[in-house]
Amino acid sequence: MAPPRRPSTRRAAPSAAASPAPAPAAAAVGGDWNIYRAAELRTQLAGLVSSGCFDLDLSGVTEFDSSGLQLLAALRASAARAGRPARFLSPSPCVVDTCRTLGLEPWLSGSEGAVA
Amino acid sequence: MSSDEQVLGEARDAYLQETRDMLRQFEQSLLALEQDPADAETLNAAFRAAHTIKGSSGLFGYQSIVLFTHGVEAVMDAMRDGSMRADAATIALLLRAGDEIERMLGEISAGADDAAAADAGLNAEIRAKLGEPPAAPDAGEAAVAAPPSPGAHEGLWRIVARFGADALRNGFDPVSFIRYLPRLGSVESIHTQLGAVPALDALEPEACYLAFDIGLRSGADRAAIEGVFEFALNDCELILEPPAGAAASAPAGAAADRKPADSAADPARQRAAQRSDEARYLRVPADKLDHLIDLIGELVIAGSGARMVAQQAGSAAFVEAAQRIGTLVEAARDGALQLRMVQIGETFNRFHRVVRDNARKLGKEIELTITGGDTELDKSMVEMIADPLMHLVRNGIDHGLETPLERDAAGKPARGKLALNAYHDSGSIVIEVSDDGRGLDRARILAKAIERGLVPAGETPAEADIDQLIFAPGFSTAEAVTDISGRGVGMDVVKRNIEALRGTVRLATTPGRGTTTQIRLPLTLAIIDGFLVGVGPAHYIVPLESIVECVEPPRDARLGRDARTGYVDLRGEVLPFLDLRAFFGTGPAAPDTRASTVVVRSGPSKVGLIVDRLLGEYQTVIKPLGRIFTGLRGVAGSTILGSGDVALILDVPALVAGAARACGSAAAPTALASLP
Repeated sequence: MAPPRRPSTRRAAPSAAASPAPAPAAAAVGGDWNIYRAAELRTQLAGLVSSGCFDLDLSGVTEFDSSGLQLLAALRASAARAGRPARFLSPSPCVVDTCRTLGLEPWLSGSEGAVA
Repeated sequence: MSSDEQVLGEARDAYLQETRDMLRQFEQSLLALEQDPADAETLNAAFRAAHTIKGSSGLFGYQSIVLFTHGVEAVMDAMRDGSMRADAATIALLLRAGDEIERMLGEISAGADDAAAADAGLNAEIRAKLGEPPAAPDAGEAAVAAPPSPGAHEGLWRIVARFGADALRNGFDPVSFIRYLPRLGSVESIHTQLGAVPALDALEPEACYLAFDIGLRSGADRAAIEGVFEFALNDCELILEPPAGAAASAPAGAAADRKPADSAADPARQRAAQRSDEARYLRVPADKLDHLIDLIGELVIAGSGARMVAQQAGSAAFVEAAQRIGTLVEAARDGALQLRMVQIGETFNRFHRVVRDNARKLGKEIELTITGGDTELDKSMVEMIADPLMHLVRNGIDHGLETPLERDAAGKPARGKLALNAYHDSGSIVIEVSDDGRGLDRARILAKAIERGLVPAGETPAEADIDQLIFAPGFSTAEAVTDISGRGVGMDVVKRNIEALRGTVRLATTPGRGTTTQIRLPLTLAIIDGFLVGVGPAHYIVPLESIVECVEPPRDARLGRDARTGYVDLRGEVLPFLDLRAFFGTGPAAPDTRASTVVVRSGPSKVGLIVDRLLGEYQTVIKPLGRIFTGLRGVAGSTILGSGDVALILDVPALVAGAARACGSAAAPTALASLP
């Protein structure tokens, strides 16, 4: 009954949103968080993690699917290993929606209602 | 064409083929349902087919099909939960919906990006059925979604879904399945299990690590919930735990009829069964298979070549080894040919709809009986036999079977019988189309045949021969349809099509009792039962089924007179003959050869072929001739003998026609010799 159809929004803007970061330490990683960019995002996030940054500004995320969710989970796992919290700030509506659907709102609690 | 487009094109072809298969299944199930409206299993089968169509159309982005099929599915959903009756009107509507989907597929296969929206009238009818107002044009999918039937056993299902590592790569987004669940009920709890997700440096970004544990309060049954995950079942382990007490209360409810003992079965085992079921079939491009068969054909030839060398070498061990290889190669050839075999049942089943629709149109009551559906024949033959069969079935419906009133008057049951039957018989497959209708009017056929000059006036052929007259070209023309207790147009076309497959067709009728048309086809087009003959140094293969007899040659030919064609007296019958040596120009025979005449038949005409040697029966793989030989008259193909020599396969119909022409054009017969 649920045709698992991928939304065809592949054209959306790629990463590195230019919007001003609300928290100085948070790295803005926007664009489509989907399977097509999962490998690229992983490299980007791994780079951030190795530089000690575990806070993301997700306000520029335009699409967010299961692979995106796994990236966040992996980032949390990396952060846990480093003994640091991972925070996901200003999640865009699609991030909020997915997390809510999956009962993962607690992940976003650090965002203090910064929902757009 | 870029490789992307190519991949997409191939995927689309597979989609079209699969969806057409599904449509056929949809139709079959509906027709079965029409007979037995209470049969929940056929209803489920129809539903599954529609569901699969919707799902795969969605994957390809054919939204108009998705939207339309969704309505169809909703109607069937209502039928499944008992809120709509499976009456004739509903089934007729669904059948028409199936036709509409077929039409949309046609547009897509013609290259459209998406089919035009479904017929508005039909759409409105479906909506009216569902008790919905006619849709606004922009109505989204959500508007069409069938609400879960309220009040039916609401209960808390526990759904554990563990997605496989390849789920994402295979195009599934697990989240989208979870998003769909609220349509079945309310998601009371969800626990997303992310324990399997590794840290970033170990993460395979395109692998799937997700699992969900969901509590769903819903009145839906197991099948409906499983249905949500159906497309991903290969990539998803699904465990369903029914609501507590549901098992106890179920037998009382309507849902119980739908799922009898099934819910007790282990879902994992069910899934395994389904998976192994899928694994039983492979879709293989036909050209790959043909290539394999070609190769094996070569192997057969090379194998017998090796056996000859072994014999010449005189090494017993070598001969034995070569023989063993030869046996295996032949087994491999039989196996490979078997791969091309398909059951004829699928072709037969298509006629259910034809019979139903036409019977209705004509106000007749017809029951179609199918037997021998599991008889196998070559795939390419199945495709080519479909049209002639359709012709025969249509003829039976239109002209053979009478209206209930007429049948009643004739003392027959009002319901006419049409039967399709298939069976194997000594190396060929026999297909029969029979009806218990009025039969042929032989007197009128004969009158017509005499009028057309097909039978000399004053002559009365045997009854069985009269029946065959309707296959004569120029006999059954459009006007004949109404004249001769109306056997239809184009029986000559049927006959030609079947003869092109190296088959034969015969008709038998009992006036007032019915007609049976029997088609006899070779099992495969790739192999021919032939008779090997020698002319000078050359070898020819005569298709065995065209051979009538072998007799002594006419005296003149034995005397070496160079008569290419002529007549001989075959037991009082005038038989044209053709000397293959002269015809093919193969050079003089060795002096001690003792020629023979092979009498072959094509249709009603017979011709004697004069050859030097009779070498016996020979089953062989047919190889087409190269393009430069396409203009060659009298040769249908070639094959390679064990010795490595090439043998040409004779095109008997062409030779017979050629001989008849040559003899007819000669001012006088070159030789009217008599047989000794």
